[in-house]
Amino acid sequence: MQLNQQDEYARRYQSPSGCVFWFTRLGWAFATFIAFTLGDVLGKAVEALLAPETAGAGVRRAMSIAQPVDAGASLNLLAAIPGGLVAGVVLAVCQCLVLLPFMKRSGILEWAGATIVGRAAAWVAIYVISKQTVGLVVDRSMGGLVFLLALLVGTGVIAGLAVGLPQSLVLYRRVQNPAQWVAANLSGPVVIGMLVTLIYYIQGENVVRDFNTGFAAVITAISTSIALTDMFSHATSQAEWTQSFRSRKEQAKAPQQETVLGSSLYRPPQPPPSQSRRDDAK
Amino acid sequence: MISEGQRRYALFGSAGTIVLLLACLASIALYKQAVPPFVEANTENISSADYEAAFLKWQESGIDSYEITIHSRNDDITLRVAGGGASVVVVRHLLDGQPIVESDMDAHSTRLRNMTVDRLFEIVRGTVEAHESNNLPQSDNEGRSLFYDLAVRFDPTAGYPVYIAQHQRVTRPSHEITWREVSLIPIEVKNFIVSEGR
Repeated sequence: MQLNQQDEYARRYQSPSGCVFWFTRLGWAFATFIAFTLGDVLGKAVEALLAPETAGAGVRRAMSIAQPVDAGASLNLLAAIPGGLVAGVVLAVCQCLVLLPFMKRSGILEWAGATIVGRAAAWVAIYVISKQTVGLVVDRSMGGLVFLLALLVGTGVIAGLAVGLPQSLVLYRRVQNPAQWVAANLSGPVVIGMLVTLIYYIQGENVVRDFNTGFAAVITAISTSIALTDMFSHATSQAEWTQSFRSRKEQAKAPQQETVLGSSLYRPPQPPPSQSRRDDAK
Repeated sequence: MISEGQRRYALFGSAGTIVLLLACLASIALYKQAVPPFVEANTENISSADYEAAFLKWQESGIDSYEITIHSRNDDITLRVAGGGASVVVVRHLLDGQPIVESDMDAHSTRLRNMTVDRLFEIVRGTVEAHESNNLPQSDNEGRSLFYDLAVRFDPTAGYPVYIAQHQRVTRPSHEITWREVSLIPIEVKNFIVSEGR
């Protein structure tokens, strides 16, 4: 009963209005999609700059569910880490722009830091796993297919956790269920892991490798935009945005006079009948 | 200020992610132990000299009649061979552990008659020669590269083949992934009893 009342209160006073709700949702989805794809391009460009031998048309590719990874023997983390950091900065900047009206400066900085670290970690994790798969021979049997599916979906889970977990830590004291944010970040890379497995099985190579990040970005953008607006509605008292939503809604309501008992359930006090008659006579 | 709950959440989350990453890397390493990594050539674990030596050993053993139990895919087949392959009788045939033949019956099918030691030697010789002369298809009509892996083991005393298998590796020019398919259904001799003629 008390929970229902809390939900009702949150729905009315702590969640954004319809217009803000949809504007935020669309803005977030667009920003996340652009950030993932642009970050991928820039991150890869930085990698190519630091390790030119890993880029180019003739370079063999390793199995990857996201950014292209070269099939060279050496593990070049000195190029992969800056690449991931650049991709993280792009994502952080785009997402922070959407979050600016909802969070204070400290929250925005926390979000930027978490995003940069998370995206870089996801980038490096995908890079390291992809490098390990170079030369992998998979049995074309149920066992082999299950192994490949588990591997690529597992990689997707790692990539989703790497980004979603630090960001959910920023949301931890602001929302009621921060784990929901992690789940929303898992959907994109996990779906792309399944899709890439299927393509490897049917085609023998990833014919959509240039669009891996784009596909994952679309799914992540949609799922996180839904999760974000849902979290706005289920925030804790420590969330900055609840203050702005509440004050905006309360301003929109007609001002009420104070009642005798201090409750809006009672009508405002009426003047005594003698006084009202005098007023009428005037 | 980080709360205790937040700290625990971060700790478990990070630990879970790292464990998952290590599990992925370990499973790749283990899979590479089970299925050897890609090499851009056919592979075979015996040469024609090894084959000749094993065949010589078999001939010198003088075994003419024997009972052989072979496991191949889902079949477990016991054959009684006499007269160097002139008479081949199916003693027992189990499919997925269920009996198909339980009493002696003449082996009429080519597949069953190919499971005598002499025929097994012929299969080994054919595949070894194909490998050594590079007489195997190197690509298919879709432009995929094909490579073959031959694995043969001989009995150390009598010389007969105890295991024959050949896999085909198929890969696109990008070499992103290589699929391995069965090219020659593995044949494994589970039991071999000499009847007479030694």
